[in-house]
Amino acid sequence: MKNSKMANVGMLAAMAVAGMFVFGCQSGKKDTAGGVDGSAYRDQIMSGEYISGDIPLYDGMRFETLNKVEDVNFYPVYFGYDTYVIPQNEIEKIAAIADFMNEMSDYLLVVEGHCDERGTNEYNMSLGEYRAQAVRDSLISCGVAPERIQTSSYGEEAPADPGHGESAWKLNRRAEFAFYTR
Amino acid sequence: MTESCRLQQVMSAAWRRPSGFVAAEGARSALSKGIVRETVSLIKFTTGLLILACCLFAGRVFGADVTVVGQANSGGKYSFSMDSLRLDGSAESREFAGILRSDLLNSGWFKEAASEGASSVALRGDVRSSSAFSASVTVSWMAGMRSKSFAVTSSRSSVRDAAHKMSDQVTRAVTGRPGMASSKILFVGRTGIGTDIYMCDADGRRMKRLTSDNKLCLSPVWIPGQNAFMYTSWLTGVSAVYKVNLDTEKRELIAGYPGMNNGAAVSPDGRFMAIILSRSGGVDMYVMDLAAKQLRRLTASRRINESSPSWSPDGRRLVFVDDRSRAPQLYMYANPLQSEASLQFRQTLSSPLVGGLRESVAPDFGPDGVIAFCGRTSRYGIYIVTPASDSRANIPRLISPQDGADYEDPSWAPDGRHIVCTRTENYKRTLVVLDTMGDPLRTLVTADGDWYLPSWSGNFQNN
Repeated sequence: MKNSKMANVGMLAAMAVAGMFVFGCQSGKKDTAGGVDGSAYRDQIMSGEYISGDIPLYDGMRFETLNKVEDVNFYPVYFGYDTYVIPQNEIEKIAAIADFMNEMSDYLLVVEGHCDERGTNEYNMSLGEYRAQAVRDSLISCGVAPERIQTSSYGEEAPADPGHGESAWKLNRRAEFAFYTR
Repeated sequence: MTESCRLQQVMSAAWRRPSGFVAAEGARSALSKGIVRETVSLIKFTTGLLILACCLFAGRVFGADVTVVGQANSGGKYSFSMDSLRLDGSAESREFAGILRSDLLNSGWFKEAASEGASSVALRGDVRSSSAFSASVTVSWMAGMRSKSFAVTSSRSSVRDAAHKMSDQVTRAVTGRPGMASSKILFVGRTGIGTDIYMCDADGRRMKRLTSDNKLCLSPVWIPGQNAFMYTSWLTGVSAVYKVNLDTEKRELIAGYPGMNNGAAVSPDGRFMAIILSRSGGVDMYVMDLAAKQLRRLTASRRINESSPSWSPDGRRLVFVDDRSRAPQLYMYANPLQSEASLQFRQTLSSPLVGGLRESVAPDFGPDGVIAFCGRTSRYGIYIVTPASDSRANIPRLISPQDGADYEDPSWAPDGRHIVCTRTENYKRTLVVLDTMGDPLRTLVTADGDWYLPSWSGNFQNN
């Protein structure tokens, strides 16, 4: 059962890529246009409650027991400098992943957020998390159940290109996708 | 939920506490445990006064309790001589003497005298190695007015531990300050795709790899009072904070919440852990009761990031980084374990702890209550500041060289004087030790690869 499903993955992925021009969904239903500043929320501190608009991350995935799916690859979603706003021309990639996730209903997804090397490590760890969450929000708005998507930030610690210049940096500001099954 | 598993390969061969290692003080410490610690800046200030006090004291009754901080010579250091330390000719005795000499020099309080006659501190005694190793050393100072004897025995393979222990005892006796020679430094090393946690002695020797996760791992931090540390690993594909016990070589999952798990810092009493999580959707600071595994959320700031918490020595305050003013700056969180803490936090957030720097990050509370942090002007440098209630009084002092390199990730030594940090030049990261009292920096780790995020052990232990 599992093997035949794996064999279909490539085809499904291709279908999804084809479908991304047809389908399409909101890029994010929240404040993803808020940028790094997020000044609209500056006064909302110390409530101790979830702030409205937050979609708390699902606490049910046990990664030590999950199987990573190694042969499914989607293109990374790339970002501009110091922002987690998803560029308009990257949204189709997310739509394709949403279609794939809706098709493969038993798959779980980890969105991995990455940054270029500029700025402090700790700042980039947060920025990577927000990039992953922006993609997650977008996938949720495309109908993927929130509890199937997890986020993981690598900050600047796992560059796609180890070089030091814009040609490397633009490849490193990205969200990658890792699929798992139970 | 709690995972326990053997650390692979390296841990087993790794660090073991030398069994049968015994240290005994020949004389009861006059500098008993109740010594009031002074801040490093105060020491310089009071040195002159103490020299005067010591002169008066020299003519009086021998053996009264006094904190000997002064009597440093013109260079601010005691000159020591090991001319009368008798070695038995064994390789171990020579190794012991060499390490002891090096440790005393590294402590910053000593320099070597040309001869015993020209010294202010004399080390005399016997160093022997047969089936076991033993060293008895009598240290005398203040022109022989004060002396103290120490004996260490160890296995022949643990001479390095014995020498470190002796250096700390001599340092404590003569200066009244804790030494650092026996302490250990954890750090991150990158030699390939992933990273691993490494450890070395305070002098940079005996470096060894502690993990082999073959993934990204970061942020090792000692647990006060335990031979154990916390670190963040992406072992399973997502980040989680694990505890590693170096005695049992066991690893345990401590925090595996959805999203980010990073920046763990354990309170001085070992009971609580401050940590940065994104489980609610924002990046916020929490505190966990480690026994009950219960979380309390300390901040709830949408799209504002908290990071890098560090506990004050009394465990009643947390210094941390927050970027609500657009740039990351330091803030203080008072009484994080009290239920009314949130209200106090709101009050302290009105202004950062220090101003005037484009960024202030990676704070580390030292054993004397002085905060070391990384500040940015044109480059990143290491600053220290004694936090006062009035933030205008918090004037940071730059202690890293202005040599075109970046200095980041400071961590205090248990002596409250030295700081280990990352030095980055041409994208190559090495570890160096800075002296807050002005000695030149000492290079700790320069092997091929990148070495960063150090954590120095024993910050809150009064040995």
